[in-house]
Amino acid sequence: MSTGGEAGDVYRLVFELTARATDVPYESFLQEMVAGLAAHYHAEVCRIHIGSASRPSATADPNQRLGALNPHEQARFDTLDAMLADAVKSDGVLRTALDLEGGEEIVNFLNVALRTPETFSFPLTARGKAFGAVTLYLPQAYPFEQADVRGLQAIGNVLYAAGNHAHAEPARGDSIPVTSGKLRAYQGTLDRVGKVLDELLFLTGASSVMLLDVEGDFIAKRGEESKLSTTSFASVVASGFAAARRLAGIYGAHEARQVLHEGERESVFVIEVAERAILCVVFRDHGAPGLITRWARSTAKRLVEHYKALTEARVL
Amino acid sequence: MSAADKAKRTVFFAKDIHQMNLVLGKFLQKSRADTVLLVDEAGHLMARQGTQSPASEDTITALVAGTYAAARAMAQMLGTSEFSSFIQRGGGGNLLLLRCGDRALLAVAFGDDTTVTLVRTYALEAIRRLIEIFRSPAKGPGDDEQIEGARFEKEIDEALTDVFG
Repeated sequence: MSTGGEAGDVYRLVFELTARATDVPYESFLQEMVAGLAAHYHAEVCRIHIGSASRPSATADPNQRLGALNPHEQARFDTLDAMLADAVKSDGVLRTALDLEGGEEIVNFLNVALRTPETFSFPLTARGKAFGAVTLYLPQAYPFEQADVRGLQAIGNVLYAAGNHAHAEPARGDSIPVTSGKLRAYQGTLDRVGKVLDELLFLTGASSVMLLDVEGDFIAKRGEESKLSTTSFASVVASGFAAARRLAGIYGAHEARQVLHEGERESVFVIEVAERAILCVVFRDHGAPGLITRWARSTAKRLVEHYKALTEARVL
Repeated sequence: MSAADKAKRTVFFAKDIHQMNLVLGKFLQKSRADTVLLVDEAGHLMARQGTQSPASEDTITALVAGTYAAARAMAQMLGTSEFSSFIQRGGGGNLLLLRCGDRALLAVAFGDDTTVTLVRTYALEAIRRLIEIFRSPAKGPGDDEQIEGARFEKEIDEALTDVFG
């Protein structure tokens, strides 16, 4: 795990955790996330609050500070932690303990009980709304930078995507009736691919992400519905990529192939997956296009196994 | 070919091609790229500088034009202006394609000796010079109004030095 203090390290933390997001149950993922955040920021206590529940969804207490509190102190801490998280969830604005009513008294209590005079609560937002909060109880001030805020935003996106998937009820009638083991395997893999694309979408804030066959057939798509014909778009992406790949091959490119089309308002990043598929990310003005390509490369690697499973289980 | 396309066509004489090659040669020198091709939208090679590739020129120029046509179609579908550039990256080789005026494409192949930023910066300057040539092509094989090759080369050298030092 990375150490705190370096701007941008928080991205590495998100990378490390997201890489395992599809491989572990949601609750374990939350636990890993909160433990990772606590380690990253050297926090004595870190909590993740999601939804309207008053209790935290996950808690990291690496030095057993909470365990050492008496029941009265424990209850008081739970109350003020919930107050802080609720305040942040209500308007999506970052807060410290001092922003609460009786802030100074709260800070004194935290300083004495947990030795954490510095408290921060960040909103977890997705689609422009706060759906949760991260509360951090630190033994000393931490120089939060823009990278931290963006990293925490990315964490919010990942948690939102992971949470939606974990709690999603399968819509009746929406799925193909599963009648065989082979079909079940195919559908299961397709669901996992969808989840990986969901994560990429929320993480990057892209307009849409899609996984295509090299021949231009759709495998999965996530993101905005647009007026354009997705079938035509897929064909154009696939044909353009095939030409670019051949061209690059002539000039010596021989490893993972990728193409970045840079437009004035929109850009498209295309990367090969397992030599037979293409991951396409359409995104608008983004402050860090390099970050998007990095996420997409990471996603493409994760999709290789899923794509192989899809081709093995192909039933249509 | 439509009448509009015919009207858009411009004939370049040897002097124009010579000047284009000078610009491309200077660009290669500055950017440390391996090869640069100037291709028209229909896939015809207008000028090239740098190392020869094992594939035929026709194959390469057709691929460049095809890649760009697909990118333009993609941009139209997304309702955005044309993509300004696109980069193909892979182990051992990179390719940068840039629009050059309203009738040509510049394809640059480069390795790890240079960076995409450097290549793009010099390419944009080269494109500016190429567009000047497109706008005022020679009137005929004996057009004395055109700048002589040696003088033109010196002028480009000075302009690039002014911009990039």
